[in-house]
Amino acid sequence: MTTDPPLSWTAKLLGALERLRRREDQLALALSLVIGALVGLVVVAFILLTGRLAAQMYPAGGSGWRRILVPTLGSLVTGYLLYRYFPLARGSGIPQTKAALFIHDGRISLRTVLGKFFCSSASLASGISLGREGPAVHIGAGLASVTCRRLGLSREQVKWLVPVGSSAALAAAFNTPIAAVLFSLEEIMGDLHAPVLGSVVLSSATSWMVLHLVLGDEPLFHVGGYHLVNPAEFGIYAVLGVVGGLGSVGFVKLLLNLRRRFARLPAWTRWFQPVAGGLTVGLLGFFVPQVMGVGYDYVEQALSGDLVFRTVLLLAMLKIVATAVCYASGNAGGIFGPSLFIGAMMGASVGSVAHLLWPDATAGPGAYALVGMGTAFAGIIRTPLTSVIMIFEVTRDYTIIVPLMISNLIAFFISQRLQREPIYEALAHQDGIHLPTGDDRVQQSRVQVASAMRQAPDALSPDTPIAAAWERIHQSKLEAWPVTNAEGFCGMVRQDELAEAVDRGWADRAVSQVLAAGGGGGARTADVSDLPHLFPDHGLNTALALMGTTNCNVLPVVSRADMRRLIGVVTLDDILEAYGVSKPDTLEQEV
Amino acid sequence: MTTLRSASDTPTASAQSFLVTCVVILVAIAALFTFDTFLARLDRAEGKAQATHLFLEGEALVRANRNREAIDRFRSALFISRGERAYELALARALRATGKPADAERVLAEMLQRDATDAETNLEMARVLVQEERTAEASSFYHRAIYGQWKGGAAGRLTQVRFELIDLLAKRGSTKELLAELLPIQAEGTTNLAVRKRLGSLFIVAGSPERAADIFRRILRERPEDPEAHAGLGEAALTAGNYRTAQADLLLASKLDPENEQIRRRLELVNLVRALDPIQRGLSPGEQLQRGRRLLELAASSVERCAGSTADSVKAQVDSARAFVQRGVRRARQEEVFDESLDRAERLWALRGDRCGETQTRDEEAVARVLAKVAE
Repeated sequence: MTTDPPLSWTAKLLGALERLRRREDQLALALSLVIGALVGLVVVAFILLTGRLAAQMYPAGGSGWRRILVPTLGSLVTGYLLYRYFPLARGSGIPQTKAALFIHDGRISLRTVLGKFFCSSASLASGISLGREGPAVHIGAGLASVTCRRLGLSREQVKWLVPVGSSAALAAAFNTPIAAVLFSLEEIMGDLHAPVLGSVVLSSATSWMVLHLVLGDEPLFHVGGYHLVNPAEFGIYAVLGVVGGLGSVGFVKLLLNLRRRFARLPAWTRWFQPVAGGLTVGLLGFFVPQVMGVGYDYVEQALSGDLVFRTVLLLAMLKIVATAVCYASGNAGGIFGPSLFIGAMMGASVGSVAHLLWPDATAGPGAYALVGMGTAFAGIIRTPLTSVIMIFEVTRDYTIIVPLMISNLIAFFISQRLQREPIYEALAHQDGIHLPTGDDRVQQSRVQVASAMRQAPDALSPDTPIAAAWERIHQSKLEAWPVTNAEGFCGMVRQDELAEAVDRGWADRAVSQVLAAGGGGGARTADVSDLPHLFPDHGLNTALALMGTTNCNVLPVVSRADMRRLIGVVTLDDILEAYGVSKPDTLEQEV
Repeated sequence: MTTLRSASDTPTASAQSFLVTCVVILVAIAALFTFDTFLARLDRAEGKAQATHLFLEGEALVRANRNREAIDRFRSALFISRGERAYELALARALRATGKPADAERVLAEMLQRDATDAETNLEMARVLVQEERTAEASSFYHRAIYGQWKGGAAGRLTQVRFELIDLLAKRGSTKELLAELLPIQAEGTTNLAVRKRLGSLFIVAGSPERAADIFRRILRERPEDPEAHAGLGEAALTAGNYRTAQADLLLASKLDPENEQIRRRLELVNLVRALDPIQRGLSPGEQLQRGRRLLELAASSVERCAGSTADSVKAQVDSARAFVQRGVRRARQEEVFDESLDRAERLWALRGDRCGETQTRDEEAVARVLAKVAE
């Protein structure tokens, strides 16, 4: 008797890796951790390098003329690089990530990732009035895509791991692990119940840990504890919601309008269009340096109530203009950070007026700046849940959470009414890309099996002879027939299976023998849940997918309360009819 | 755990390629971690240096009395180095100096939330509250400063802080609390001459002239020709109502330091008090009456000057007092008239107290002291 030689450690390792590759759940776990760590470190490097570059471009005590020259030259250089080498790295990165996810099977090239990294870094360091979070999301998603493709994962796997990368990136860029998860689900995927929830959470947590290991644990903004002074303040926060909503709509419309105008310019101007943004920021920044860059230190001042009314009002308006022009002209950078800036200034403006009129009944302008941040974020980005959690995470202040929720929702509703298309979808639309919208998903889920199914035919009994069963059903248009016993539904038997049984000489045997033999829709099992089945509230897309998997165009519809109770059946024709597609024979008649 | 929707998908790379890619990724993670850590350390060090530079700039601006610009520097320094105590204290001081005590209070309140026993922070908060005229609360924070933890060592600071509180209490006229603060300092037995003299003066303000006299006598044992100590002793005697002793001490002080304007003025006061005091020993009834009337006249003049013609009742009393003073008096009735003079003077002075503030002139102070002694 011979024995196999012991395996070398390399072989053992390869074997373990192969097993890992085949085990989806373990692979997802491992990749979530790896992507979380990798993306977290890259985003930290992005933040640190951008800061160092900015310090070089704007040394302390430098001349005011730098504020005009540096952003202009910076946007000229990055504009050319984006045009010539990295065309997919333009803009914020979030519409691009969504396009990659829904249209390009999650594919983001390494070139795009590198281009985004360096061009965004240079752009932001030169003082362009955009944010770093959008580019970070694109970089994170891109790294996940590149990593998974290099590991040889399938297209489907690559696609589902893209949001894992984006979540890790946002967790590191903003130090907001929970908001990062919510944003990936709410905005990137558009589905809070996405199956990759666990992976997204894991990668976000890993990235956040990496950030803390390297940079320590400090919230993005440091604020004093604010609280409600008087219940009447709810009214003022509601007013802030209205102001924030209107301001958000104004900003979005201005940005989209300007972008449309830039897009109409001749193609050969594309490479220096970003200079318009650089020059605008430079000129504004020469007189009001606070509008340059992201401006988080001024946000903190607004949150502390240290800026006067005139200043915050001016900064809100100038920042809207600067960011809109910078983005519309094609600079690389996002709108997260500027949204917070605009919101903080709008909030501080409302708060200043309120505090002037009712000093004893209102908190200081800082509290309103805090709520204003979330309000503008909800109005511009249109992710109300994410905005509430994000504001809590960036400030670690929970005491103002109720006014924040109220104000956010009001701004969200106003924004929804006055600007139908959310900004990221509108931006993608302008680029000729049509991303699935929330409405699309709602529509899909509305059409249910219950509205398409038909009454189940008289079921066969498992004891019915195969010949008799064949005689009964072979002329029917239904490809498969339900089988019920004393306990209820126990399976489906296909016409071709019965025909095959007859040919085999099993005419006298019972139908249960065919069920026992198994097959596409007729496997016999004591557990009905193992059989292909549908519930009445399943979407038709689920029904179609199951038909494809089982290769059978008739499926049973059973009750959720008792799976043995057969409610009806649904066929492919029924589904097509539910979607309004005419039957082929109907079409022939019409012709 | 979340599953990937890939039941029918199969990996497209070989196991070896998968392994190589895994290794590359792990190496990249390690390299990035090292790089990021190095960069973060460098960033922190440079940030700290920049924050220090901004802080020093801010301090220079404070010294040049450009507090508003200094506030910007301190805020920028704090944005880089959050929670840096020295920066926060400097910011609070600058805010207080620019007349923004509420903002300073907010900064200090946050600091005290982190460390309630920090003496410097409590001291600064006390000063802010003084500026906001919340003196009762300020007193509490002064105590916390005195009994708190001094991070840089308390050498020399405690006495200074105590005196700051004492000055506050003296200004408020809280004599009991003032006395309570002075006693521990006296118990410490300081050898500093300036502190001892100041202590003596403050005991007088706190209404304890005996203790003040004790302090000044000890000083005079060491330095018999110290004019300030003699003046202090005189002041203590004046407060205690021993006008003759006060006069003698102040006269001696004046001889020792003839150029001292303050001593000269106090001596003039004492002389006037002695000249006005109607219950001095050795006075004849006539002299007593004369002094009583003089007292009444001065009281009436003071009331008229500060209260003006605000009310007819005041004018009526003043006119009545003046008429009383002019009236002729028989010898038999001198004592009776003397008593009535004093009564009227006391009533007028009480009226003055309701309408006017502290005494303004030397005559008024003298009248106040004499009437206080008479009331005793």
